[in-house]
Amino acid sequence: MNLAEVIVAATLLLSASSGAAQMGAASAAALQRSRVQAAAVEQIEAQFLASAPLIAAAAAQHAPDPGAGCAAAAQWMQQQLQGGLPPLPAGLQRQLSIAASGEQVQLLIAASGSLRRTRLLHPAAFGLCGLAAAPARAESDEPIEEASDATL
Amino acid sequence: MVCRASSWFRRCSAPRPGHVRAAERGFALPIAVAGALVLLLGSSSLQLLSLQNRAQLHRVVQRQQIEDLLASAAQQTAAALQQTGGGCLLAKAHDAWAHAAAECAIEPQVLKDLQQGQVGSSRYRLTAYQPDGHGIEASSAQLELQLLAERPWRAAYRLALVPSSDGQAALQITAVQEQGLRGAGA
Repeated sequence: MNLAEVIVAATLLLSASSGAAQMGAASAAALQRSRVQAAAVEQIEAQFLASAPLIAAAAAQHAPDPGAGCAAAAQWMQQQLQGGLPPLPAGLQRQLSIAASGEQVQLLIAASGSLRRTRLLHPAAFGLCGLAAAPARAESDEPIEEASDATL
Repeated sequence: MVCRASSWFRRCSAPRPGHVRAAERGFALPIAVAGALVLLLGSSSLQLLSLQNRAQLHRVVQRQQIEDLLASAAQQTAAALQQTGGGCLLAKAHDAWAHAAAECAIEPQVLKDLQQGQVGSSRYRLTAYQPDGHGIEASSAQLELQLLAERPWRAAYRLALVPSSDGQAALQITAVQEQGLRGAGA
């Protein structure tokens, strides 16, 4: 064993340690981000799963007048969802709006990054209207936006 | 003189010219190489794990977005079935719709439009509809939709049906329940 060998060995070990530490830190950060995103995915799913039972329960208690048409029923659904969906977890944004057709509610939930899900809910699919076609509205109402105060 | 241990005896031989003596070769470099390999392998494994996690999460989100598209399509289709011909087609199987259209006073073009639609930029078509009973005795129906995309995902839904509340001999949808994706086959 001579000095040159010791120097080469130390340099090799230092370089490997530095590279491994960088890769490890990046991987740990990516794993943490994945964990946060996975939690957000579950929370968004919970919001969507809650939406249909919420409308059914509200309709069982006090359904809107079926004669008022699907546009009015869609607005009723929007209000029920607005007031009844579970509280928004940190880092998520929810937007409830009437779709362009005027007869559907659009539920959009987004988290940071590209995580974004949208579903359309039609009152006729819940038996709240639709026995006769109602005239479509020209444009959508102002969306109701909600956002939690914390970031993801 | 270099001695090597074997299971029964020690053999000793004189070092050949050009060979470095074992004692002189040192152990720092082999240990450093081994240590570096262990470190790099460990960090590579961690990176592989994080990449796998990310890919799995991406697949889950993609699948959920497909489910969202088809669930929205199911809501639209259910509403269209309810609103077209006073819900007359709700009591009839998909195979019988062509014959039932006249009976239900539904134009051929309307019937065609009923069996396909669009959610956002994604198009879909109705592939199956089967009530569980005859006429207004049916209490539910199976609806199957398929995306018209590169991967033609299909999903099934159960429509809960009750006799219409307006006094007519027709059915009315009260709920659309998801039954999950049914693959991406044609």
